Amino acid sequence: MFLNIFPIFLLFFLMLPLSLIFSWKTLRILLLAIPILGFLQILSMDLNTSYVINLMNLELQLVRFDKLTRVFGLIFCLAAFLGNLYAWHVKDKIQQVAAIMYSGSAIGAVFAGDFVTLFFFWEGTAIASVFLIWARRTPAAYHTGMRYLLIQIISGLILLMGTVLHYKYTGSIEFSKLELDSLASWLIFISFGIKCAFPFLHNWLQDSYPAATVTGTVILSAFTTKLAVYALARAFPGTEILIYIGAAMTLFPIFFAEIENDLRRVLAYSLNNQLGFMVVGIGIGTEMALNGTAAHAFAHILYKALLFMSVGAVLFRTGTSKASELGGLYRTMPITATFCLVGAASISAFPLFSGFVTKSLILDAVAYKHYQLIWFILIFASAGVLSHSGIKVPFFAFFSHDSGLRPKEAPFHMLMAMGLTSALCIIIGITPGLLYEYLPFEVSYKPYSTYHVINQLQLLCFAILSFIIIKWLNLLPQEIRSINIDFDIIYRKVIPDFFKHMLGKFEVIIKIISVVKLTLIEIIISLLDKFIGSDGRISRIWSTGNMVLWIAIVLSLILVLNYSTNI
Amino acid sequence: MNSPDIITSTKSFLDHLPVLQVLFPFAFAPLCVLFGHRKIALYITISACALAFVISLLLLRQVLIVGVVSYELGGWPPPVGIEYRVDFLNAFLLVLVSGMAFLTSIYLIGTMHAEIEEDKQTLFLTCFLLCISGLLGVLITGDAFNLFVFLEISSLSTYVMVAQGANKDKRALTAAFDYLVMGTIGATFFVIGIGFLYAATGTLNMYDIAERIREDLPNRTIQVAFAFILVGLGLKGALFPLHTWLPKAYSFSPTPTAVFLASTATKVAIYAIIRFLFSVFHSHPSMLESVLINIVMPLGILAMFAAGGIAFYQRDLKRMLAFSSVSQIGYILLGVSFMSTIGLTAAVVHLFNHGISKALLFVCTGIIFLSFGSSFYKNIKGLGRRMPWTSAAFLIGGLSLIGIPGTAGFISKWLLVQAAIEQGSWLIVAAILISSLIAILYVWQVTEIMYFAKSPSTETKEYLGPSSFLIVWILAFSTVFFGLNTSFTVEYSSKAANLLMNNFTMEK
Amino acid sequence: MKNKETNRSKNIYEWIENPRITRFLILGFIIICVGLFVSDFFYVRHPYFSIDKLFGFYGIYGFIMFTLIIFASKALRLLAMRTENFYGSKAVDSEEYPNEELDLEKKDVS
Repeated sequence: MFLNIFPIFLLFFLMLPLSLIFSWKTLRILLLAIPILGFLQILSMDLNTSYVINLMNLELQLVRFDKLTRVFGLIFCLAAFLGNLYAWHVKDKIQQVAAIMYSGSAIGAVFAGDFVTLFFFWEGTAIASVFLIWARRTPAAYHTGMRYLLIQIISGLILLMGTVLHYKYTGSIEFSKLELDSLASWLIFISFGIKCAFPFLHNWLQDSYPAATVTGTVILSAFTTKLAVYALARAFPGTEILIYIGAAMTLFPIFFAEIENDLRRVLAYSLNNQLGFMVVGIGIGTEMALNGTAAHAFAHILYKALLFMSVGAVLFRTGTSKASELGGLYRTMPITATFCLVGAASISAFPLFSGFVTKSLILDAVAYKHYQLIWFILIFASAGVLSHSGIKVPFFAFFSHDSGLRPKEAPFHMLMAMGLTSALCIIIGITPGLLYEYLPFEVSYKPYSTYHVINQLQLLCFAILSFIIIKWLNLLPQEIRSINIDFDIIYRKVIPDFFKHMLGKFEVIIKIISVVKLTLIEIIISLLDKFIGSDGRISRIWSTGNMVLWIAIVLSLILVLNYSTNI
Repeated sequence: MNSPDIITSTKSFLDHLPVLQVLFPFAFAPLCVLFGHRKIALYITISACALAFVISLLLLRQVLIVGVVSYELGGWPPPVGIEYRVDFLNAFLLVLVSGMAFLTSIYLIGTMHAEIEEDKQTLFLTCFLLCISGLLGVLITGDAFNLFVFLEISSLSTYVMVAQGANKDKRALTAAFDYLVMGTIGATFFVIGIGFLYAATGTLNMYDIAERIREDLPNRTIQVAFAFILVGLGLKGALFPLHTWLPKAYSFSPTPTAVFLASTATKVAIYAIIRFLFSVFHSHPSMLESVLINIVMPLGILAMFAAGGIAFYQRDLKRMLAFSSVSQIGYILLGVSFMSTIGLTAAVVHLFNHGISKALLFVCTGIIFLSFGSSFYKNIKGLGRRMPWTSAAFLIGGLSLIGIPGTAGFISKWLLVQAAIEQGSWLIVAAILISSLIAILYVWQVTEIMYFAKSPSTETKEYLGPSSFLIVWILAFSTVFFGLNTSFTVEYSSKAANLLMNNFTMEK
Repeated sequence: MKNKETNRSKNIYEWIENPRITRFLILGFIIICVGLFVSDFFYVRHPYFSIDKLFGFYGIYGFIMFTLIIFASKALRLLAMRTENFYGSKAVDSEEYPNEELDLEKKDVS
């Protein structure tokens, strides 16, 4: 009864105070135990319960539990568990706490039944997660983290503005379906869009995920974007514009992923592409499509975490995740290589792997609604997924030419985490019914029909054939130590350069301003020192006479005031 | 639990609750001296506090059932006799004060022998009990002069309790002396004010005074009485800039004294201010309004900033906390000065929440002080590793001072912001938020020293008897609990505020 | 015992280094592809639109699109590729991953 209502994700936040007391060794056990507790609770909760707290005049729905919440809550708990297991070796308390607070915020946001609660957890995910990037503790990671935080906070602020306006228009803060018909809902839409990495709002993702720590990236990959997918599915199902946005999201990352050198960034681009499928599903908005989105998010979190884990293990052992430096690691890391292949097969949607049973839901939903062009784009994107995540990542990391690196196999706990994740990917692939049972709507879908399986195999096998031929002709894009500019060049290079250029012309003025600023600050500081500093006018120990003088002043003030107002 | 049978069967006992509330600590105080043994005295103290706490809870329940409980002392009906009058406001604060007294008495188990000279312990406990009964009396009485008497009982015993710090630091004596001078001036002002009121109305019962001055136009006598009472009580309540006795008194007194004073003494004085403003002088709304808006509100805001800034400059935990108290009192007075239901609710809730948080902080500081012999910043570097439990609890208290969501401090600040929004004064909203930033600064400073500075040694050195540990975590838990569950605090405070504001708006 | 295990696990992918086996596997794969292509005769197809009614549509589409992706990205590379320290010290691309976080253990066998 109590368990049914008490929002257990609050336990996740308990880790912050506990971290002050316990050592990292104790913490890591709690870090595994709490997600399990959360998972069990969500499994046992009754549907359609809610837990409302009354904060002053606001009714905050801390828990709103329905089927959509359930599936996302379950996978978030699962992802938190697997990510923490993968990070078992991490001695850094900051990372431990950030990871658990981050997952707690994400789960809290999924449970939130109103926009205000959502906002708090929304910002919570932003603030907690940035520490996973900063934990790398290099200046570059600091700058990257700042960029990431800035964008995430802006997303939260836009959400807040939208919420306030929405409240003004409708008098309700309930987090439910919206129409894109007012400024309020557009603001909320854009805020979700930033976190969901819509085209042109997406660069934070590819920028930050490769910058996080080995274990941090695994955790990062699971929550922020999928939270946004959840929020979109909750508030904007059936919004047509999402179909086109989603289609664009599946398309453009393919090409970038193909030429990117850092394998973790390849995976970040591929993540963006997978989000596109989910967004299309939300845009279609039929029961089947939403089922597809939820299922695909579920499967996607697992196989994407698996891929990040395997590349992370490589980074952990070799110190790099760049394709140009890697290759031939299957000799000494065969188990990791196998797990990576499982992840690759899952994301490429091979039959018997998880991606297949979830993506086809979305594809069929698109086809039933007769979006022909979109359907072709998605099929095209499926081939693209195969090219970068299915082939490129395992091929360049573990096979390809021999880099000469002979790292040891990943540590046992990482293998455990990867093994468990792989097992889940395969289990979902073989018995999709298990997952379908937890989807938001009734499922009567059979992914394993002859034509489905054969069509998918045709698509994939011929794509691989193409790869073999291109490889044989030596026409694959070379792995070169390089980066590729994306839209973010606008705010990382063009605008700052422009301002630098402009400001260069007004050097004198700037100097004057800075001098004035400095003197002003000095004056303020000296004033503060004089009055409230350690020996300042107000803060020094007063003599009794002075004290009494002040009493007299206050008394006379009151008297004068009373006299003057009442005569 | 609520069966009416019990109430009727023990009617006589329940009827006498108001007087028993004061009587228990008051009567147990001489017992301490009579037995003369410090161990026995300690247990007497604890049991008296426990009894007072239980009674306060019973009273609260009674208030919930019957509304206002009025008790005629000695069977003399008011206005001739002294009336004890319990409504939501003082029932709620009685729980705070007696609860804090109880916790402090338990805290004394583990710390008294280290803080106070052995031969003075019995007397210290006697004063402690007297102080409690005085504070409870101030809260419960409905008679203006009786209030003065209780205020003096509590103040006089407080001076003694502060002076006991001389055991560790001789400056406690001057602190106590300054406090005595200021406190006496305050009490004198207060009694002068009451004298004027008596001259104007011929009665000392507060509700009677309120009735009688309603008929009058505001005349000079009442205005002067009002000014004297406000300044007198403002002195006791450390209204900025009349706070100057407070930092010294808090930082040089023994920590149990500081714990108890910080969580209750100023709160009770502020209660008295609220009581006089809204239950006595409410019949002169224009006078009230002009003073509150032109004097109390600016002073409150000034306190928030100036005292907060000073707290940032301090290099000693105790002094930092003392100045932070002054700044927090600013918040409370700001809430009062809004003259709205939400504002008053915020003030009353903050009385409660700040009481708990500050008690927590001072208890932690006391433990740190006993472990290291000092609470200077330079001596507590790396404390997070050496005293993890205490530091964690301290941090919780600090977060509550800032007003981080999930702690008690957030609730009251949130209410305060709401009250300011209701008034439409966005400047004040900004002031509250900016002064919270100052609180972040001074709390962060301590956190940084505790957790990020390198400590000279890394061994764990936690002076934490079971009783202190219990108190620390009871307080830490309640700080978080009242931050999450507002049903108790906000409900009672808003009822109290409603009652007070009803008087006020009716007059208007 | 541990050595044995690593030795055994090493064998999983040993075939890759044997050109005969790889050639054989590729041949097998091509046969599978042809088989999949031809299999379009033998099952009831469920085309959604008019184009995917075409015989062997999925195979052809997959092949062409994959090729297209590779060449399109090569074209994109001409446009977008920059050196690693294009963004200077404010991006992680130009720096090494800090070693404290890692466990750079080499395998003992050469």
